[in-house]
Amino acid sequence: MKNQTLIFLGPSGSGKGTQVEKVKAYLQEKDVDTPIAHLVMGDLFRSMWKGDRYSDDVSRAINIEGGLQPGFLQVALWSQFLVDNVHGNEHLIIDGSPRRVIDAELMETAFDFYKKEKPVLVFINCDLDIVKERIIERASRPEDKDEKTIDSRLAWYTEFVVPAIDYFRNKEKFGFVEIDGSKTREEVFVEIKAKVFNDND
Amino acid sequence: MEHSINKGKQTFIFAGRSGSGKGTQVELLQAYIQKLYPDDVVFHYYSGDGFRKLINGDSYTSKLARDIMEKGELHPNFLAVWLWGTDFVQNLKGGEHIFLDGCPRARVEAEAMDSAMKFYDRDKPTVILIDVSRETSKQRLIDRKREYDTLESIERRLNWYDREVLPVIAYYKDNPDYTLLEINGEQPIDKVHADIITSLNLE
Repeated sequence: MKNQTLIFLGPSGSGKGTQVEKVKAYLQEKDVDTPIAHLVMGDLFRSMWKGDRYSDDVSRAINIEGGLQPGFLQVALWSQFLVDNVHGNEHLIIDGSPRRVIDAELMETAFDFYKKEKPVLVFINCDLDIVKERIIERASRPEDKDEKTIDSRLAWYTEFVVPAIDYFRNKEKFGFVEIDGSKTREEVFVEIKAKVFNDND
Repeated sequence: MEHSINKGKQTFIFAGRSGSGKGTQVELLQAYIQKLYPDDVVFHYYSGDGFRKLINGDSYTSKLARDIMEKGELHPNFLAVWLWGTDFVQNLKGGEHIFLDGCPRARVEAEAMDSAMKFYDRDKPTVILIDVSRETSKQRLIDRKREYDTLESIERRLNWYDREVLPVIAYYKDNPDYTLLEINGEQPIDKVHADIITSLNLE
């Protein structure tokens, strides 16, 4: 199998994280020899918010308000991940980034630099009313059910992430597949396998 | 909250063609600011330092960056943002005067830098353009010719400035969040410095 570069985007609650895990297991099974570098944007931020530097404090405050983190910080964090984890022969899975057009433009310069050919954006699309319901259902802490915070996240998703998705959709050097995220997780994975890996088993 | 600690602190973004004498002016202004506000901390970022460190490293990224340099090609913009972004995150403590030298050098990098300026609540940064003509820049580069310089690479650098950096200057010119000072760089060093001080009108 050729080295894959897969970018997963979709609103929170679209089941993106679950599908990424399934895809990862699938790749590991089909291609045991190639390591997988798996970048989870949310994890990089969560790790930053444990810190106590000035920048950690400012970033944490933005998160508490449900705001979108600044472009330079997104780029600095995923770049650090790439510098640490890209060694030239790996599958690369990016989960939850880019989140703005500027972020997408800069990520494109990284794909060129690392010679990652034909990255594929896997867009798990899902109606925002459905994801909102799912987010509230799965919330384990009361603050995660706060409707204002959820609405604010979904609002920046629509305002900033959707244009970043369109940036990839409209460029020929990228592959683009759109997946219906409203179905069951099994059905969603069947669709991903068919559309991304041309595997209809 | 912490944010207010940056109120009234200066942010200087230096721009100018190769050979404009920008580095010297950064040093002179830095000494001036340090004297004017002896109790304040000055933070200085020079993009050349970051790239030099990267080039000398032994990671896969360092190797690719070296390949690019040897071919005389441009470093990708994400690396520039990674270098200064990481430097800001690790070293800014809040309350400094900030001097930026050698960045941003592309429009998309200027936009990323703008997000950092907002994030750190920097009050109206001042962009200081040390303005010299393409011809002057070329002559100065030829006069000080360095190891890797050829007429071709000099010409490429001049073209790069017109293509990538002029849009950055245009971005700042139209942007009410920044003050752009265009300083005539085709004068003696002291006079350039004096013009900067006069334009800043800090006292």
